[in-house]
Amino acid sequence: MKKVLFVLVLASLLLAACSTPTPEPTKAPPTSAPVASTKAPEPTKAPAATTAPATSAPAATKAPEPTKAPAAATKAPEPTKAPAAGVTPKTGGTLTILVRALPNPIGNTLTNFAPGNTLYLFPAAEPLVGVAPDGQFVPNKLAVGWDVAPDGKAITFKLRQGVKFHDGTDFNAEAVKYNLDATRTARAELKVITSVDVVDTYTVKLNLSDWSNTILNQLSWHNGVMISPASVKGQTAEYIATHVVGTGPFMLKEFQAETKLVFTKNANYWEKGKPYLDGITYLLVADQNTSKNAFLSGQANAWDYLDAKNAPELVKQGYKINTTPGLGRIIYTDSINADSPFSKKEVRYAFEHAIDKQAIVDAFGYGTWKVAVGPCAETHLGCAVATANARKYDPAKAKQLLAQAGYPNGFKMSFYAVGSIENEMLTAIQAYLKDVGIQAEMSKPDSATGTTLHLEGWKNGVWLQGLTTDSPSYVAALQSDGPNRAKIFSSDVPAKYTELLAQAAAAKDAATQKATSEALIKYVQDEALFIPLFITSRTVVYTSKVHFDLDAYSVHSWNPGDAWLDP
Amino acid sequence: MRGLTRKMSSPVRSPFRRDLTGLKESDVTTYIVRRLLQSIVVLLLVSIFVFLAIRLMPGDPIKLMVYESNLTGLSPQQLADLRHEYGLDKPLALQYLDWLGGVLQGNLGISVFTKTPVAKEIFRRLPITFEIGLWSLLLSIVIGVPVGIISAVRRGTWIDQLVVTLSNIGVTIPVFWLGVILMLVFSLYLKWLPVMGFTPLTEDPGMHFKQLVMPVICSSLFSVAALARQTRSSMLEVMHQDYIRTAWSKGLNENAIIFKHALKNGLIPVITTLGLSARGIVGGSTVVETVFSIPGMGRLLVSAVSNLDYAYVQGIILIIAATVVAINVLIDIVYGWADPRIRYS
Repeated sequence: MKKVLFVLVLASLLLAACSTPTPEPTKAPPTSAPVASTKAPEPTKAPAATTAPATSAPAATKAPEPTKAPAAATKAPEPTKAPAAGVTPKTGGTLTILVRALPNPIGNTLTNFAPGNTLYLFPAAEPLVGVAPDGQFVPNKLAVGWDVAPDGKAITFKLRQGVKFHDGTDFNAEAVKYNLDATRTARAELKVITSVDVVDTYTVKLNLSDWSNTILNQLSWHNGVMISPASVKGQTAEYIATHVVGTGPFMLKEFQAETKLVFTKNANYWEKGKPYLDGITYLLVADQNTSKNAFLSGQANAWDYLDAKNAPELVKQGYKINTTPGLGRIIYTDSINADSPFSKKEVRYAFEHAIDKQAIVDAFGYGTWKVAVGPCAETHLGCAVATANARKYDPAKAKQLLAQAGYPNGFKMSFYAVGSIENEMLTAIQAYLKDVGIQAEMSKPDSATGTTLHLEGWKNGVWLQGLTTDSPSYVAALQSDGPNRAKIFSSDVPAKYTELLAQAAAAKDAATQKATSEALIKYVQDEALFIPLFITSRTVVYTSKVHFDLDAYSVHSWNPGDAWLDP
Repeated sequence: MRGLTRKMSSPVRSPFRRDLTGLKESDVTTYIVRRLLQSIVVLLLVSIFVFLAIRLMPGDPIKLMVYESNLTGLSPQQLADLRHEYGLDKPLALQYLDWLGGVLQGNLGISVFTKTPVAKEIFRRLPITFEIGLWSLLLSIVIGVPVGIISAVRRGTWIDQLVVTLSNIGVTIPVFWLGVILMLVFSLYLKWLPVMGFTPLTEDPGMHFKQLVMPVICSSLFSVAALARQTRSSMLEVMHQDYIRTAWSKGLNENAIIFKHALKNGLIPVITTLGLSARGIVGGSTVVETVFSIPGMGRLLVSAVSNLDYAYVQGIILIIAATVVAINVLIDIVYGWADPRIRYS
């Protein structure tokens, strides 16, 4: 009898493991739930209403306006995301967000900071330039306007007055100069800034070697974040690495490496009435199951960067969820090595034809990923031009191209991928490649080995990595993740590519930007400088008590001061 | 067992001959001093091995840091200055001596990646791992040993069968699976415990202990089961010895036979098993720390190796090695206490 009882207990535990409880979500009445919450999304189909890139992603047709009229500077900044009519933001409460990664260290943005972690700085530190959900640059942060010189060789920023850093010192032109002087020599993308002039207390002029239409993009992200000079000068490296003294709506209260970030309300924030929250806490949770259970048990109000596979179930349970375009997944080859099969364009074409991207997107994206028809995301300016020459799944054509290139029986190769790629997906890709005769040995090197391969090169193989989609600017995406032998040693960077990239970066008006961006996309596609696979998603889930615009952007931005919680 | 000689006058000695321990206090002191000196040599060898091994891994920490921080605009001179700042431009032998000199002064080095003293972070995490490890060890002893004894004494009964079955499950069950089950039951269904995290005792004692429950259960499960199995096995072997049969036939009390005469002789393998478990006290369990999102030593070490963070890897391994060496010395001493046949020579 006792044995039977024991078996029953075990069985119940197993059942418990196989089913996820559906605790009562802290949600509003069903009428306010997302549409999709009443319609369960199918795993292989897009959960229509839960993913609304049309409303939250930057529109591909809208080019950033580098020559934004100074008139904008005279207009009072609008909140990026105004509360719905009749809804008054409540004050108080702490927003707790579960995330996969946190900056380590946090403070030394001037000398040592992983750009992908900028998002977590924004509660405490603000950039010069703001971003609207549609990807336009707006003067709602530390700059209230900017003016580009007619020859494009300078950009003058008017700074917000009456702003103080958390240490009580003034934010002014000297502070901007200090910050930009510290970073412009260390970061290749800022080399275009030759000097920074203080025009007056609240006016600063950036002198440029050439006009670059990505400069506003750079200054809206980690390169534009302003830190109190007084908080850095004379301090030890350790102090700088663990403190952030900015102008943001929250102040850094506690930093525990790879554990948590705790921000507390900045009562002297320049935008009166904000922030609404008492604080924001980020908790790092590496395991997705743990994150899910912690979120469901109420240990956090929001869970950012969850795996797409978790989204349908959470929607069913009535939680609010939003998906924006995440990283593009692209493959770099060792095209620089003359003895590598990938030095031949036909082989690179064949590689793309061999993989059924749609099947992978359906199987692993749970309706939130998209096939990359060209070497860009559809949110990138001019990406539509790639559709005409998209290389579709066609194993027969892949075999034919391989034969043309002198590999009728295929070849053996190494396939490297970053650690976050699902093993099952690698197995699927391996099977597709095998079908056309390519024997791929799959591996996911650790961080140090992977970086070393990037920097020192690899032989006869490919690297699956990311392409940023955080801005409509394709030029900015390529400046970050495009062909660059300083970052990807084995991949060829033709002179023509460098020339087109420079032309696209120098384009001043919207029409030229679009035309040059399209030319760049077409060239990258024709030369198969990298092989595009698909665009993943960035998904955030939160309870209905949460009101924020974390869901309005891709990885680029958010406005913590606007966030609030229902009591 | 190194440094010990086992002198046995007969295959199995009767514990009733109390005059034959052959142990003098001075022997023990000499032995401990010798083992401590040996430990210093072991630690030096370990430190040299780790120092060289981490440098054999592909990659250059300065280049990695520059790449990950997107500092692609740095000039060669700026890169050389960075390398000089961390002493990575010196010959290997000098780098090692510099590091060793720092260690002797309590400085384990500065991380290239975080720019902070690694000792600070290690000693922030060490108490967390240590506490979980200590509770797990205690739980293992308190549950594993008595359960093993009961199982051996009640051999063939339903209790024995239950213990054998559960201990088999215990040594085979994956920790991450158990962690998820515990979360579902205790956090989501019963809502008794938080899913994850670690709160210092000084901050919130209630939450501190609540957050410890599931990690400690997961960390201790294997050693509870292993100890129970080992204790049962050892006890069964001893219980079949002639002197135990003699004790039973003399009509001695059961408790006296088990705890006074049988248990001590059956403890040697149990102590060995316990020693192996004890190493987790400082090394931590990466799986448990990841599942319950605990900032412990296990995750720190994995992250350090992955990033090729020399200072962290060297510092963490040195501390783990020192602890393991200390535990080994302790275990060797306990061997002598548990089994007088083992003499210090």
